[in-house]
Amino acid sequence: MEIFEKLFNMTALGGITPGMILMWLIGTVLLFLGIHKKYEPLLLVPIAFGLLIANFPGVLVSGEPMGVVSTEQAPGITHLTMLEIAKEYGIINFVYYSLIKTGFLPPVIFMGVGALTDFGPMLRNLRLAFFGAAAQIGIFTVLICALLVGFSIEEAASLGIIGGADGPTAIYTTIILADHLLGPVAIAAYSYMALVPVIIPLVVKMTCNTSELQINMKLQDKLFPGKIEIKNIKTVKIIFPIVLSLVIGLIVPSALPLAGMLLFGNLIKEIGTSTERLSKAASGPIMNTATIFLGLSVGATMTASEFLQWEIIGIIVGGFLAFGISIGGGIFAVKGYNFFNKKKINPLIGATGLSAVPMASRVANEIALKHDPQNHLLQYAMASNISGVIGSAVAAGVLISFLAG
Amino acid sequence: MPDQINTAIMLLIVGIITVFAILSLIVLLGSLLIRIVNRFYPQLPQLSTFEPHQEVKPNEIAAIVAAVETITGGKGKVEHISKMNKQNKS
Repeated sequence: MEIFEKLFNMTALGGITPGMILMWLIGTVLLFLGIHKKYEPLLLVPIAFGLLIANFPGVLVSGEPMGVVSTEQAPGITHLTMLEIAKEYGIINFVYYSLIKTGFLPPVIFMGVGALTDFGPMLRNLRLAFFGAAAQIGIFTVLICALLVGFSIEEAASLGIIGGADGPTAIYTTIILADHLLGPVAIAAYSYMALVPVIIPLVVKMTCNTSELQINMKLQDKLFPGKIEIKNIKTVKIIFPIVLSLVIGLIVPSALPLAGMLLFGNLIKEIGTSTERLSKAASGPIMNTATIFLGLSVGATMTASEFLQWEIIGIIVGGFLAFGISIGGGIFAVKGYNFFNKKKINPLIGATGLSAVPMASRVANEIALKHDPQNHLLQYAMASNISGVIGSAVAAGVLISFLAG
Repeated sequence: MPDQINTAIMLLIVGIITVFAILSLIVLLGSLLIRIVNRFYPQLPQLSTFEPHQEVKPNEIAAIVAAVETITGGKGKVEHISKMNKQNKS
């Protein structure tokens, strides 16, 4: 009998709580969305699996689950060495406190994003970069709304940054401002990014009419020429990230960890064959490794005790609002521009001012083609889409410099 | 709470102005950069401008360009390719 009792105690069966079962269900649903529905599978699958393994009792010697413990739960954890953290709290906490809490992984992922980004469309349509700024309005609007419903200002900023539609930026800002919300903010950010093909058409339908959506960008360029011809795009693309990092470093230094790594990644890509190995490493093995560790440990922050709270609903709703307002902000900025100018811009260009590269641009292009089969505006949409990445990193830098510490 | 609301409104204004300022600078510096590069470092004539009568195949052009780049360490540029006629060869 004693043997059976010991066997039973060895299993997790005795420590299961209703909260854990609910978390398994949430993890399974997220896995289903990632695997079957293909909603951002590269991140949703590691996050969902991290969530799952963080919610089993008796994994650690102390009998606790292996999920990430917050500094409130273990106040002395930040004073422990990495070896002690690994020994007492398990490998997930080791990864979290060494790679996530230090803010290391999001910039590393941004470096890979930079190595995959082509600034060419933005350089060819520079004036469209302005709409990347207008689409950041959702971040700051939702910050105010979240404050009014009872979130602290740091939590509200973490919630608002979901509207930037940029996963690494949202995670980086939340690590610094409100790390206890990291899990839900990451889930909301990546879920809504996966739902861009649903959210953009919804907002566009509510705010634009058919004649606006039929504005043909190439035709407008022919009717009102004025673009500068780029005679040596390769050289411009090499110098551009260097100049841009100098500008951002001087004006918003707190945005440099993200924007600087993005631009470095882009620079090593644009230099060409002499740095090709670095570029391939940044956009391949390094980015993939970082994504695995980021996803697993962010998922492991969602233990039943931390996740199952009413404020999570606020984050889900607030994140959606931030997304919607950002898209609407870009659209109305284009409408304002069109009101004062003869040369018209398709409002879909404004809708792509939030990040979510390149999915937002692809969705905008599909909507345009539905209204006019000749209206290919992918390259134009990419211009505001890429500037949106820079815009959201700068917005995050502003929030961090005002609210951190 | 009112203090926090004031901070949030201030963040809204400062944030949007900063993002606009940075993107305006990007537009300005980008245009300036393009003009400077156009003026001082325009691209050399494209290889596609070689006249068809030269009968140099694209893969041969690519091989020649790659060979020159390798031998000169990237410093040399191919501006013109012409076939030597048989008389010159002898």
